[in-house]
Amino acid sequence: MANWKVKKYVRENGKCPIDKWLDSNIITTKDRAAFDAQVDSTERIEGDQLPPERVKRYQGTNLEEFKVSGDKKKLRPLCIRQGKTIILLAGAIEKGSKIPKGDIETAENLLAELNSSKGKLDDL
Amino acid sequence: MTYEKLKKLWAKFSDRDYRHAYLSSTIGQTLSTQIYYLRTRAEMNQYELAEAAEMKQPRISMLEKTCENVSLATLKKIAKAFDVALIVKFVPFSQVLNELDNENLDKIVTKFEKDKLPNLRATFDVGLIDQGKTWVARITSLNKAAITVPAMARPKPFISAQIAQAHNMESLNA
Repeated sequence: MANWKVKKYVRENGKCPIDKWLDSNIITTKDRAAFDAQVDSTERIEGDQLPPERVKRYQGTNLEEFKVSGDKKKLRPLCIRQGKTIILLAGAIEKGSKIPKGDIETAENLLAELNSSKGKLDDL
Repeated sequence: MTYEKLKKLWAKFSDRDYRHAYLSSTIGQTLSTQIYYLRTRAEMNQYELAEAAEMKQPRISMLEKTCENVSLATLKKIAKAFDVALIVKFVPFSQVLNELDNENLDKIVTKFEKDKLPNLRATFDVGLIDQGKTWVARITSLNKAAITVPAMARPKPFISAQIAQAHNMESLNA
């Protein structure tokens, strides 16, 4: 049985919102390390079912949040699942137990792009 | 994890903050993931595990979310509840990468009652001298006195008394 995979969505124009978010100055070295560790440990799971605390449906959307405990902040990049692949769409940070509306809209727009077969998936 | 990915990760490890934060997150995620799979595979709910580990259910719920700041005492209680072994030790970073490459987090951890004594296995080199040349035969999966020496290494192999004693076999020096 194959293990889970975590991939990033790359837009038709070659830009990758997740890379842009990870490279921004809001993400510290420790945040980046925690994010990478979460991706790598997810890819070390073989079973069909992931622990519920790892990837969770975000209320009122078709999106899920990839939960990472960052450096004093809750990193919640938004994603979807396709089989045993998690596709990261856009970065987000939880504020006051909610994800900012703008980040959800960005992720929803990217999901629409992905669903219309634009762009591609890449390894992190 | 592919070798390419391991190489990239190793390069990132040159930053001290990065490598310690990475390992801290990995330890936390490994433990919380293992607790979740050990519990669900044992068909226990969080209340049952809490009772077995002499804790409260919200604590179990928290441990399945993150184990980054968990105490050794808590982990010992969880290990006892599942009747599995707990290993905590200091190792080089390269050893951790090796494990990341080889071990799935949802791999079944056998309880003691279904566990068994492992076969005596060893890998070591046996030195051989033939017409002034030195040969080394690598022997793996050695089980007591069952030794196969490669054909090129014709002369009688020698095994030190120390190794022989460690593996409960007769020295071949005699």
